[in-house]
Amino acid sequence: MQVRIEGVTKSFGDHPALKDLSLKVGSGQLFALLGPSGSGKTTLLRLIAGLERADAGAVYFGDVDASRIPIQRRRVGFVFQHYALFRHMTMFDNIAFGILVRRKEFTHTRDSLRRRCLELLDLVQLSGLEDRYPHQLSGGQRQRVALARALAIEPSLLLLDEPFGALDARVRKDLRRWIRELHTKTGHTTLFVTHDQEEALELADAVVVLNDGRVEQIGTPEQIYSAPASPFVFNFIGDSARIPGSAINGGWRGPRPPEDADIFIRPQDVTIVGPHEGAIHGDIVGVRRLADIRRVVVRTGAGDIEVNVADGKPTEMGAAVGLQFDKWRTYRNGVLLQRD
Amino acid sequence: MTARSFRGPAVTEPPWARWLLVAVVLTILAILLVLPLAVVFIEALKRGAGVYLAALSDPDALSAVKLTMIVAAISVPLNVVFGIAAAWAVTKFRFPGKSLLTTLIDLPFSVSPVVAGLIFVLVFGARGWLGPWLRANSIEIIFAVPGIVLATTFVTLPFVARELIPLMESQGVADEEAALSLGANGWQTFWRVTLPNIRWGVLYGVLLCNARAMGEFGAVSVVSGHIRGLTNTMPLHVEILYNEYNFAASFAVASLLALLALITLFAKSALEWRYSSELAAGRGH
Amino acid sequence: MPISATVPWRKRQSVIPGFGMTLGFTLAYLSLIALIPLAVLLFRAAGMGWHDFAALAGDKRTLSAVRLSFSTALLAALVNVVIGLPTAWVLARYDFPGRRVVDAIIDLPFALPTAVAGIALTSLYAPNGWLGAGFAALGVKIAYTPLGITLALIFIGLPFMVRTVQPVIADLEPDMEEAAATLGANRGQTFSLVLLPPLLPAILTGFALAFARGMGEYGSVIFIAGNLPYVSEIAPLLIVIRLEEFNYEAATAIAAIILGVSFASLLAINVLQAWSRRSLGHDS
Repeated sequence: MQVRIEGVTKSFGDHPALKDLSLKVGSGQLFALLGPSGSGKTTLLRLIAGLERADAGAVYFGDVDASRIPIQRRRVGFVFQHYALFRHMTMFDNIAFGILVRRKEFTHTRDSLRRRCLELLDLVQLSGLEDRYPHQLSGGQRQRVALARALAIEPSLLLLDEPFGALDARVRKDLRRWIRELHTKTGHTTLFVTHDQEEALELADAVVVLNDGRVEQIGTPEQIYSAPASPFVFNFIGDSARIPGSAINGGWRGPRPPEDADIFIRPQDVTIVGPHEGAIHGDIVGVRRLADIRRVVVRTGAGDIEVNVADGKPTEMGAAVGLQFDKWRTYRNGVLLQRD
Repeated sequence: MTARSFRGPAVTEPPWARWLLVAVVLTILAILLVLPLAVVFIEALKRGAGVYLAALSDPDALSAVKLTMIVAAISVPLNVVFGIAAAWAVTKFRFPGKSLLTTLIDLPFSVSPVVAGLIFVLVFGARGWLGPWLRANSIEIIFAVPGIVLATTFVTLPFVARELIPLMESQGVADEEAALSLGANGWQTFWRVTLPNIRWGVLYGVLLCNARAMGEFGAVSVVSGHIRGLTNTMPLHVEILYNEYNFAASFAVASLLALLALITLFAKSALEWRYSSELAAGRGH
Repeated sequence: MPISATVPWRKRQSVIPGFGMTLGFTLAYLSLIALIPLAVLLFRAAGMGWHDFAALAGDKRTLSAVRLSFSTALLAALVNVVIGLPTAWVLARYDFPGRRVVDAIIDLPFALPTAVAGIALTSLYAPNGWLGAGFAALGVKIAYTPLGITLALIFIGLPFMVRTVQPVIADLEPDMEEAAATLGANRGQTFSLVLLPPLLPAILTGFALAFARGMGEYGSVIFIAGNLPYVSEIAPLLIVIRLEEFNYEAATAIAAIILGVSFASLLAINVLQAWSRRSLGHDS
């Protein structure tokens, strides 16, 4: 099912959460809503689910204005951040809940209901745990039961709020891969909220970057990473440095007056060269070890710039060096001027 | 004796100080709390089991027991329904005046029992607000069972609500939202999701509410008229017998109420022990 | 299609059903059972006019009853601070055999009907009672004096004190005490300088709760009080006496005074807690 969000505005008291936001999610796609906390991403998700009502604007499911559909009949599978599993019910009863309360829509017999629930448990790889209670499961298992419960109502749309937020790093990685596979298998239109750019880029067909209640950029992970539409996106997606300078005809002319444009660069797009070469000069003031690379901090007239340096290349504290930029983006007043 | 959680020597008292403090506290509690409780049973049984049983099987005593149960059977369920409705309204929604409402729900706790009785006399009594109208229609409230029920309901009104409000506040609305998004309607959500989540809290509130309803003295005393066999509850019967210097009988009836108190305390502790995570934390009373 | 900007606030707030029904029932029930009857009392008190009210409140017997209720409740609440603080400390901090039972028995005064407590305390402290006889031999009379009233109010008020302070003690993190110890404070200094200040709002709250309850207490007191006008007659008892004389005005005036004192102390609690939340950053 295609989901269209048109001009949605929502505020809580005096605090605006979403500002005239529009978005289109194609049928069968896996979308990530990415943004820092307070950017409005969870609010947007809850609005689509029908858990919040918009102050203005509308959400369309296909061609139908969803604000006319009560939450019970939206058939939206919602996986809550802390799962909201019913504590007094077994895994089986949790999964069966949505089918039982919609008895009119699902014509299940006792046997077929049981079969369906066991099937779903099998799908989320938890066969044999149907009689366990939520407190008897690990975080990752609970997450998967919550997903099975949401899938049980045969949703036309699957929404996940920070699906990996409460899990440790290892489980998070496994579940990520698993959800990707599940999506390929079931093909539900899916939106998930995350503040982790790595998660969004790895998992999603398309990423929506939200900031302060507005969409900063919508694109494939590749587009988001390699062509950030705004300094905010550039900054949010990875490590970066900002260097003020001047631009003529969209081309950057170096760190010189008038400082009417900024370039943004990433540490891996900078090469250390001789002290009299390169676009900008400075001294090495720090060397740090990251997992698979060395990170050198160079103090320049335009501020500290971080540079990735391959192993084997000499880096001496205090050494005067020049920096050569291999790739960068130029922005003026927050708007992208030129690509490389 | 050890400190409750592991504490290094720098952050607890030396053993002799701990023992001394515990001994002093236990002595005070024994004299202040345990001794009066013991006295009730000792005085009740002092003249032997025959006198004890005779006092309890006296028709007036039996009718007092019956009235006490009837009053509790009306006012406790009323306050359970009220408590659940109030907690639902206060914890699941945001609306102006919410904290004022919470304060007002607690109001009966800060009203003296005698004043609680008095307000109903002022409304329904012979010289009260509705008195003349009630007499014209020959409806009896004061010095009759309805007055006792009203006064009891008033003094026990906050018990269930004040247990459920913090509990449901801490549970949030995620479970209800999940149920709704899975297709449940309002009643299904309440019966299948909310009620199971709060059942022990409700039971806890019922225990305290019932103990107070059966034991209420001041408020009921003002509105009852003390008519033996008709408007006498157990606590009032205890008073009448005591004032007649019939101590053995008085303590016999009192021992039933003391037993109720002990059962309440036991059940309450059992709930706290077994279901502490499903009860509201940090309740004062 | 935009939703109108003038959606009522509750439509926008929540998808959870039942707001109108539960709030409507809550308000109706609360009004019928509690608010309207209380309003009738306040209305009647206000309707008397200042002159009549002052005459009734200024009656010598009324004044002495109110003064007695006030002073015994105050004294009992003070004693409860002294007893309740170590009790709460012991229950929150130490483990000893029977701790659970002791913890449960603290709530006895909540659970035991006040009339039962009243006759039990009286038979203990009467001049021929188990403890009363001993005191009588020393020339101290407890039952049928203000001392007996105070004793009953200590009994009634103790759980308010303990149950208010105990959770706050249990929540105190040991790191503050460890920090104090590394800085050279002994246990006494740590207690008075580091632990007592955060406990103070809870102690004052417990004190005010016990006091407010004591001011209006009736059942546990009337048996042990002796009920001698001007000497051991408490204000709630005088209300009952005035009612039996069908003197509604006098009863209403005394009730208004008691209510006023109770509400004032509860208001003080609220102000105190708001203040402590702001200044100490925690809820007592």
